[in-house]
Amino acid sequence: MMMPCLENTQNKLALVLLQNKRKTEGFYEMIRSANQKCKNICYVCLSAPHTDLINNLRAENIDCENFIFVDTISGNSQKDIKPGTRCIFTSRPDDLEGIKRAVKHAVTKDGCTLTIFDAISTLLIYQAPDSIVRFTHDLITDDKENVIKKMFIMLKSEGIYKEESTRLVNDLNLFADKIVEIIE
Amino acid sequence: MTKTIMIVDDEPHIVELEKAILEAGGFKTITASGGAEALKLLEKNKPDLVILDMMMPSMSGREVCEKIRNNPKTKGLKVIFVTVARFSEVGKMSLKDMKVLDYITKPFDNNDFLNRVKKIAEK
Repeated sequence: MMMPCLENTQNKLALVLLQNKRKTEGFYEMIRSANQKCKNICYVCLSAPHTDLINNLRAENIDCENFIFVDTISGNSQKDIKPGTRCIFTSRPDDLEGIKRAVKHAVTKDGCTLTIFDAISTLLIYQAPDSIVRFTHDLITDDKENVIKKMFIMLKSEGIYKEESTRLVNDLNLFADKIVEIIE
Repeated sequence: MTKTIMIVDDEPHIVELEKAILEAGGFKTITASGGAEALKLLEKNKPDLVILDMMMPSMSGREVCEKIRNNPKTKGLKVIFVTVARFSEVGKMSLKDMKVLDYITKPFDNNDFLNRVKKIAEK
């Protein structure tokens, strides 16, 4: 199966809309497919520590060897890092500059060709939608040759942040090559 | 008759740059540092064209444009966007739906900026 949201080589940026926090088979199928297509994947964990994510991915038979995680949740506590896991830690999930630096490192030093942000909507807890849009713009414009694929995962109705969430989706829509809604 | 252009951008140096280019090109300008200020100014002014920065605090260019289109008094205004990032093909379709006539990517060439504004403002 082709990578369902970025299968076209011209498509560089996908906005993946999830109904809620529970990840469905459709979501994991998308990650599995990306894993088969891309050599190195930078997976930015904005909602859960990378250890939880690895457990979830492995439970779905997704091999994590290709992944370089950017863990924004575990802080500087690196005691839980699993042997053989590649992970870059940032101090806090709202440290957008730190996340940008970590992603840049994963792309330039580790050769990642796809960056997944799971979930970009989590940043609404800490930042206003315009700051998040600016952050995503920076990620797009930092990639001057436009070669790195980016997947922004977004919870469609982010609880009390519903209004901000809608604003964010509407703004990101203007820059996304593909918008995928995963229906349960 | 001299055409009036409204410049909406939160970055003062961009406002100054666009203002200088447009005034040297024979336009009058009105400036706003954000969406709310722009919408307030539009209650009393009717510019020939509004240049909206896409990324602004509190209200994005898209939101300002949406409010312009939803107000019977301003819905017919000509709007162009200025942005640092490229719009996707999907995004370009959305711009058409919002009746955005052009988009200019920052940093821009001054002559190109003036020519594109002229083309739309004088249409």
